[in-house]
Amino acid sequence: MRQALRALGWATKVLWVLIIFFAATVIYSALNFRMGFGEPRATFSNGVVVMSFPLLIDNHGYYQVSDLNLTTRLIDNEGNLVSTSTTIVPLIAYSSNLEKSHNISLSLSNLNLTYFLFEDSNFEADLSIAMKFARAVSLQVATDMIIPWGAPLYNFSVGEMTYRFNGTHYLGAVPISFENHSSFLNVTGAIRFEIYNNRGEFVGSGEKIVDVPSYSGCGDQIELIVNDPAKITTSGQASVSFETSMFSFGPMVVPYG
Amino acid sequence: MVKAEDRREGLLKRIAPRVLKASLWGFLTFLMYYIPYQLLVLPMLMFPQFFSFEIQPIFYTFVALAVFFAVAIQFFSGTILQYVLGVARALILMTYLIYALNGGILTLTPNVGGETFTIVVEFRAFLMMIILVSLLSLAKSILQTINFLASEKESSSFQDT
Repeated sequence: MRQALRALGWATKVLWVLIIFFAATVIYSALNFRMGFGEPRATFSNGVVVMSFPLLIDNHGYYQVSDLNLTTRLIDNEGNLVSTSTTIVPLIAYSSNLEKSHNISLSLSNLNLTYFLFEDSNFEADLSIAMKFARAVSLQVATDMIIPWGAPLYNFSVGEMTYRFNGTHYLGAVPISFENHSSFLNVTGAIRFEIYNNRGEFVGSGEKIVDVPSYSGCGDQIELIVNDPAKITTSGQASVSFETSMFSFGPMVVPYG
Repeated sequence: MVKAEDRREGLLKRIAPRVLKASLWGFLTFLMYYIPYQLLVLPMLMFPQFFSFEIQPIFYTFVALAVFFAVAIQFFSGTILQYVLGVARALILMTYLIYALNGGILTLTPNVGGETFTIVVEFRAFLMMIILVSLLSLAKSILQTINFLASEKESSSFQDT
């Protein structure tokens, strides 16, 4: 019995030492695990904006990290879920570096464009990272972030229409202005105008090709041919459509005058 | 009168070394926990947003229990109480660990630069290892109790014959 008790005592002591050693090395490994994001890149195709974040992982611990799961959920200003993106890294070996891309896709068709093209807003991003150290200790970190959204057609306004006669036709000129507050959407394409007088009668139409890069403004005028000058009134409505390389929107009715 | 005084002196002679030994063990046990506690305080001071000082009372209780049992076991060494207390220590510390570590799932909500993070650490497998080793300690204490009782019985049988 005494020998058995002694053996049991030693076994307990050895196991305690092993547990403490394991705990210490896991904590040390966790402290030597680094994760960060590189410079994001935005690409656009078929009405979907893809923001690509390079995910830089540096595991300099003693244990492998497994089941790394990075999930991003984008929620618009009305609380609607507009995008969910997940990146999974099954295994990160010890003493190794890894680079992976985390892509957040945002389909413009999921957005209320009437609001997001013209008003600056915020998206709420729910970020969640989960991983397992040494296949024994799981860690999950979650946070909410606010991502500002810059409207590409911020403060879009139509000024008072002016007319002139060029000898053959009456030409109207409608001043337009807006600011591109978006960090990644360029407004490059056509703005189409159809003018209706205050009685709702068609007055004329015109088109303007614009190229307004990010963080710049546009102040221009659209010329349109007026077929019947008798229909011209000082106020009325303009039907505006946008056809750009990144989005199509319209027709939208804007009062003028 | 002289007999009572002798008895008191004898009792003092028997108890004094036990008290001294128990105090020394208590102090050593306290030191054993004081050093890791200081290591724990360092990250608490460096990253107060991550390591809340709320864990201090939990740690103090744990140390108080450990020191109490270390003192009591040493004080009653050589008696059945030493082993009974060993069993009680294994059981109480095991239960307290499960309670203090929230069953192996800890949740922290630090605020870093105005952003609130939710950190969930799940170490049930690790806690299970601790519990299993504690169970081994418990088994050892129970076996020690049985062994003590058996040897007591054996020596009393020899005295009878």
